[in-house]
Amino acid sequence: MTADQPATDDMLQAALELAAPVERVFDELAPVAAAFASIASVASRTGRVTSDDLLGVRPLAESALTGDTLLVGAGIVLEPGYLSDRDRHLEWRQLSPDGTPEALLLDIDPSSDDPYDYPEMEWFRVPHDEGRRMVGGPYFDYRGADRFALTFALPVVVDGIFAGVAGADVALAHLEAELLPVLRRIPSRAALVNHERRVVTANTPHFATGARVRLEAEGGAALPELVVVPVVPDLGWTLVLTPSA
Amino acid sequence: MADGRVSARTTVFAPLISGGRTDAVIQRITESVALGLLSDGEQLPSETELSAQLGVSTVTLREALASLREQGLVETRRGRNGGSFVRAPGDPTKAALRAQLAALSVSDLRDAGDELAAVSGAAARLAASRASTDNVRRLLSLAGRVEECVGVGDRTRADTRFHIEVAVAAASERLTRAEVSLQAELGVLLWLPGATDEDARKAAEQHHAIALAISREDAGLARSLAEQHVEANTHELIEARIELHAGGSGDR
Repeated sequence: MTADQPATDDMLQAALELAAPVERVFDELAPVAAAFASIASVASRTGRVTSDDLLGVRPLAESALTGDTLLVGAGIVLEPGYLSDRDRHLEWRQLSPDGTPEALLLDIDPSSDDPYDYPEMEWFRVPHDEGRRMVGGPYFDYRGADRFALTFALPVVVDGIFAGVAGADVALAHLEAELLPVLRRIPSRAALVNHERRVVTANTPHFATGARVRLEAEGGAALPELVVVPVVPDLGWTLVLTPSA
Repeated sequence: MADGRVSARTTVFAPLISGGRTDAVIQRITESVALGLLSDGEQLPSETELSAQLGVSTVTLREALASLREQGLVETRRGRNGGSFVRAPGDPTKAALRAQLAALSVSDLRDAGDELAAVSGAAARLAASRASTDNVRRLLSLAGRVEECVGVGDRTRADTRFHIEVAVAAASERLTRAEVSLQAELGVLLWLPGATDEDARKAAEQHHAIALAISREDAGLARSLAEQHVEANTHELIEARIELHAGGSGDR
């Protein structure tokens, strides 16, 4: 890593502005997570929670979905075994082509041939294993949004038990439109990269969307000096710049 | 396709693989007009003939023609010398091309560019082992045309035509169809007003190198040159797309 170069005030300012839309999505999710937690907490006092109890989060998911142009899907995803009436469950709404919320139909039955095995997904695993929020992607979401998307997830813990996550799918094209004006102001090549160092959005085609940015030279090839500035530290998202290029 | 060979012309009227939907017919004709595969004033085959060639019902074809008439791309005249005729619109305006580019995100462009590189690379590789003498002669003569042309419309048609002819030389109908669709999506944006004579010279030089590699039957070289050419063009398009966002300046 060649991150010894200090970040300038302009870079820190840009990092702050790049973090804003990311934090906004989590802010949109907070009421969904709160509703999930309170419904589950109340229902669990009179026995175990059922999928019907959780229909109450649907209006909140829909208002998050229609209230912010970044979101193309929103809802909650249950920890397997948490509900009494089914093992796995999603209460998830997505935007239909005409812009109205509709149910997302996924095959989540683990005994079927090719199920959507959400407990294995990073955006579910990390909140489950480590109790922290997570953003998965960008990846091509051919099961839900059918486009480049990111999945934002907040862990929901009810009376000390992990119940699942409140989540949102964000269309990369929409997020890109908010990030590019900020990146454009940076005079050098710059990319916002995720925890895997994969490009979310960049101000140059030299950093291709989804491609991994190499921070260290391989095979003796010299890399331009890179500056790495934290953007959302707990997510591992950083701003990578090449001031000399 | 009477002689069983692929040509850019015959792919215009080849059966629609995606099924007999009206919008597929509309898309096929619209792309063909945009790329100059169908020229202004040209008469389309009769409805019976055309629906048979495209593999759609006459009802579907009529629906498509009605929509194309509404868009002003087709004109139908009655009477003895009647029939449906192509009405090619003038060159797209700078504003129209910018709007078309703005409708695509950077990630869309990267994705479409990846597909174009895959299709063009495979077509160039296959062309190196399949091109006929006529194909090669045609490729060599088309290679430099983009430099000789002036004007966005002519340059676009010359440039996209070269790439379509590489797929034709590969004797692959599906690759030709894919190349036509992708050129209609991306190729038409490449010569946004602002492209210089130097850009045209560079394009002609790269086309020549690809055509030469095909004529020398060097499949590996033809493929990598075609891929590099597409990748460089995709970079240009992404740069142009990023430039559409206000704020900031300079080349990177």
